[in-house]
Amino acid sequence: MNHDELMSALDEFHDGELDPSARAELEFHLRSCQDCREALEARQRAAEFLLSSAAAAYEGFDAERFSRGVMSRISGEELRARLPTWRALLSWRGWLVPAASFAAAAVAMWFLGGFADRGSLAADMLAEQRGGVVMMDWLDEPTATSVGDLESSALALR
Amino acid sequence: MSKPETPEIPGESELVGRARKGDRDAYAELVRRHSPRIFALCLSMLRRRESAEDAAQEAFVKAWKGLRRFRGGAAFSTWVHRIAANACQDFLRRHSRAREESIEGPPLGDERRLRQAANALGDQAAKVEAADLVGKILARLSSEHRLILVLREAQGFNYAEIAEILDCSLDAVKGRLKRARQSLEENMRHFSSRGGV
Repeated sequence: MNHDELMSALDEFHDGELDPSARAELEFHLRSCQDCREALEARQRAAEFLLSSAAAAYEGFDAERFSRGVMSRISGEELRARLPTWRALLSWRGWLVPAASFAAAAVAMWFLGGFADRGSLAADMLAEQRGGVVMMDWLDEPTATSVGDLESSALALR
Repeated sequence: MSKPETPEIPGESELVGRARKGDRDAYAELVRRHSPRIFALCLSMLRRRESAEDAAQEAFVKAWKGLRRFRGGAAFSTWVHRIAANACQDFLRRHSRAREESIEGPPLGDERRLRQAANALGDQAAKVEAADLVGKILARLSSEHRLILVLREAQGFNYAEIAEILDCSLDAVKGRLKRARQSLEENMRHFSSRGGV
């Protein structure tokens, strides 16, 4: 390799990414080339400069506290994800299923309620009829226990 | 006399496996192990400690959500660095105005003080000020150059790992690193010509 090629390989040399034979060639060249030595020193200065920046970052950093913060943020986000969003609550799609369910339930209750009312009306009517028969008993008339008996009793009275 | 039993420290792949199954304690341990480096990366990119901590937290939350997709072919560290690098880029895009302010560099009144600090690295207080100067010089670089320099020089990743973090080819890593170093050296010369670094 000539000087320019070796110079352009300085970055890889500095980063430990050169293969052993190229590394040996460059090390030999560095002994006699002032320009390449200065270029390499500039890279080393820049590296030290960046390392000092990283070292300053570690000072005062509490990994334990940071980890707790991350886990608490994860729990918070998971909890929020389980709750329905305002958009979902306000959208017609969000309303459609609950509204349809509510309407179906209301109709079903109305039907069941109607049947119950008709059932109780029939029971009342029967009770009234039976009450009439009881009244007949009180008048000391022949005992009647059904509508048929009542009709035959009325015919007999005529 | 029997030796007191020391709890066995689980390996990284074991912790990742447990975390993938939803074990929060295992993930908390992974966060404890990797957070100092991730925080340092975010701080180099964003400069403010609060922003860096926020971006680093965001990276770990995203990593937890995507853990099921993590195939394990790459190291967990490389994978989280990739997420953190993206989180920082997103943060810078969202706060582009703040970034413009940060790349203005130090006000002239500060420069003499910072240069003196940089020349007297033996003193602890001066070290803090020198670190401030480092931050300000880094802030003059583009975020792309800053990121690749920090990954290589401060975090110690090799070219293949950087290519994985940045999702680019090895040749692209070499090219970007060369341009980033040129830019950094120019900025350092700019300060040293005024008696600084």
